Amino acid sequence: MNFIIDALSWGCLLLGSFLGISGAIGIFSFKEFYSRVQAASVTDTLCVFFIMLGLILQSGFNLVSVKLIIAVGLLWLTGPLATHALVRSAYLTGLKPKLSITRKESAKRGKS
Amino acid sequence: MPYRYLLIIGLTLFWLLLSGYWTNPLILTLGAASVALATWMAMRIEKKYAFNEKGIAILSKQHTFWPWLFVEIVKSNISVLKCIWMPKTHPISPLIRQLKMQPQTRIARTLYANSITLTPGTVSIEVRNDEVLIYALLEDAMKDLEDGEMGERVYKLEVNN
Repeated sequence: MNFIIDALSWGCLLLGSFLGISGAIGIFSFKEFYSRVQAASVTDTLCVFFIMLGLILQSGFNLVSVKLIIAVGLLWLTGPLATHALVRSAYLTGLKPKLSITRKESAKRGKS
Repeated sequence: MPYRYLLIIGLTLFWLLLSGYWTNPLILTLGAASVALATWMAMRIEKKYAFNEKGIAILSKQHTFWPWLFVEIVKSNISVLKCIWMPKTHPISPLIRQLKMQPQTRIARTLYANSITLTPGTVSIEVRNDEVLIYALLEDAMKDLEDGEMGERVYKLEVNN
């Protein structure tokens, strides 16, 4: 039983680290600001979740795991705010995103 | 004013869980004082930006929304990961589009825009009256948002029934 929990926890930790590393690689391999933010948000969401899940499995269910769950909740609630603030200020100060199709054409292709 | 009591209960639970010292009277007193201070400051903000009845209805129905949002987050994570690791076979096609939002109240709109930003692959750049400007890494992600399942689900949260 102990072995199974340990194996599960290690699996979660490894998956989380893999997601974190892919987020970092994405930040370097994408070409401009707006798409780099998307790569960073992989690290923001599932990487945090899997690493915390692995740590919760390690610690067993006690006060520490409750604190870890609260930490995930706080990160998931405040992460989008930080991302939105960054992207909005970049957009308002005039950093133009490199788009595959222009905004007008995109609006035409949409339903509205 | 049910919001005040909800805030006091929530902050007390939060403080107790984070501190872990449940018997020392000095620390408990300090905790009660900080909860009182935080509630007082929140109520001062509340005077200007009222948290109306809708807020509590939305809070009590969160359990129907988060599991679905989690599945969406996993799906979009996988599609962004494909773009990162296999840029040849899965090229990115960034685009910006302004979409109408279905949710009406301020808090539901905040929830909707935050959910858009939380899922990798899409970011809400700007929210105006009932429109939201979205940057998406892939055209499929934009189509999913335009079909409006997320908006529909947030809208269901705010409708009383």
